[in-house]
Amino acid sequence: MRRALYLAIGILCGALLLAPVLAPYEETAQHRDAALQPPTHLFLFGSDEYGRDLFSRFLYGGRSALLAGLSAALAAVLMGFAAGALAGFYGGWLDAALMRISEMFLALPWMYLLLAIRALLPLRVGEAGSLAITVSVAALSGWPGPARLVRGIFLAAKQRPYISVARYLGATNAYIITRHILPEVRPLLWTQAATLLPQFMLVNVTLSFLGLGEGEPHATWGGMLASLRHFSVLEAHIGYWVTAASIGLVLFLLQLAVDGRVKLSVRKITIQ
Amino acid sequence: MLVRILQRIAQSAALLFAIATIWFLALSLAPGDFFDEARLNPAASPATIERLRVTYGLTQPLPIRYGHWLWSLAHGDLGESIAYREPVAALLPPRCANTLLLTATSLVVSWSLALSLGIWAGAKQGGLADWAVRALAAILLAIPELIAATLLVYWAAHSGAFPVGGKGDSVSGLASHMALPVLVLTASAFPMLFRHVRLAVSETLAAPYIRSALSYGISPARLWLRYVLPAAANPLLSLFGLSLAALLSGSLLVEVVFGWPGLGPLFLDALFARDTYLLLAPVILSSCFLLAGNIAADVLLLWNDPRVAKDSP
Repeated sequence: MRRALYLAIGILCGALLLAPVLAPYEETAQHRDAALQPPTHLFLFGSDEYGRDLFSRFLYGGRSALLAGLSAALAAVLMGFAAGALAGFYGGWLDAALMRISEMFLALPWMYLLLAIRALLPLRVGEAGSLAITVSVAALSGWPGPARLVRGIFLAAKQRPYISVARYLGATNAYIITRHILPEVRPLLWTQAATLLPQFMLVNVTLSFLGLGEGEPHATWGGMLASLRHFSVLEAHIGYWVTAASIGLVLFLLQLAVDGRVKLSVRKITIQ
Repeated sequence: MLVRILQRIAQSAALLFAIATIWFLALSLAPGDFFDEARLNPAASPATIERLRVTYGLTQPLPIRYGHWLWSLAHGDLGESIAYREPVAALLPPRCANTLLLTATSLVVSWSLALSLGIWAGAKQGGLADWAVRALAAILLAIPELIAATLLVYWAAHSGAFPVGGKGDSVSGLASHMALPVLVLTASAFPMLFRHVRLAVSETLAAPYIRSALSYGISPARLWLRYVLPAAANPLLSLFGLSLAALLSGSLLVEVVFGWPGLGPLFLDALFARDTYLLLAPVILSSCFLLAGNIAADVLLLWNDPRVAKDSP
């Protein structure tokens, strides 16, 4: 069951990444004489009001959302690793300060971070700007989780005899961290990155949904979802619906696959 | 204990100040201002626009604007919206009331569902019902709020079963306008709450003191009310505080999708228009809620479990 789910997701993500090869049409190619077509063999998901193939745009939009999600998850995990390693390895005031800051960011809703960072940039941003926003929101809101787990592993690892031996033999801190403790942390980092991926793809989709991310004529999942709010859908245009449902299905499967990979934990009391 | 809570409040006040300052600076340093769009209008002469900018104090240097803003804020003045030409303090209350109506309803619904189903599933672990509710929670958790809301709006507009946009006039109108947004908010909050309740109950039931209480033959009512629920409540109280914290900020996206006249659409419009003071007020207000909710979580925990006060230095 789970294996089938992973396989399906692997194929889906592969298809999205290969959008330029697989898409039957260019991202922005218009066929004005075939606007608002229902799904047919020519237009798998139908076409939009400019006669653009919704299936091709679904693939291209998914590609940019997936790439943004992947780089965002990577950024958050790297930052979490750095903070957790510093806090766990060096301890003391650095540890206390980093943990206090991480609590602050844990309590902050990501939507606010998204809008605050968005407010810093001009009203229209391109693909690079949209990617930068997603990655910075992700790094800022996603690092505390991994950081706390990494810190825990570092605290435990520091106590082990082979670390003392390594230090006695003259190993530097950097050597101990990368050669002796990193292998222990690595599987955790991968799971964390996987669980963060669907969330951050959703951040990217939300950004373009609100009209704050990358805009037309580029294909974005958020933009395609937003077109469901347009009055033209009242004319029962099935294509938009199919596209939105497919976007929902991909995000649903991704979230379902990573669900249950991390244990539940309620925030501990922080009164000082 | 009182000292700790007071310290916590002082910390939160400092944090609130930091958040407000960061937002003010971000908005002031960002390129463009409210009158950028007016410049494209041939009917407005550059001289008029410049005069308006002077009127609204946009030409003053940043430190002076910041000082003015802090000074007014300290006196309870949130500033004036440029777009609405009204004090922000007059614009916010109805919007806040609408948002709270939505979020408070979904808070009550999702917590009652999570508590009843969670306790039930935790008590009957491994059964068919437990499995069914857990599967439901996993599925609901995986459906993104944005997608659910968008598809529901599409369906409602198409079938005409529910009105879309606005909040209705009569009581029944209000209920039908609220139904779908509350459904989406509840569906997105329920799975996490349910899992925590179920976990807390099942962990408590497995504790040795429950077994010994059972072997004494005490009544089920006493077992649940005196032994299981108070012990299981600990993690849930923190969680409840976090739910309170999200009352003003948690429904932003859903409000925007459903066109609910709450803080969400106001906030987004202000962001697009660069209406600085109208933008800052909801930020400050919902940050207050956020911090207050966090403090409430800790206070509730201290009240329920005296051990906590001893444990944390």
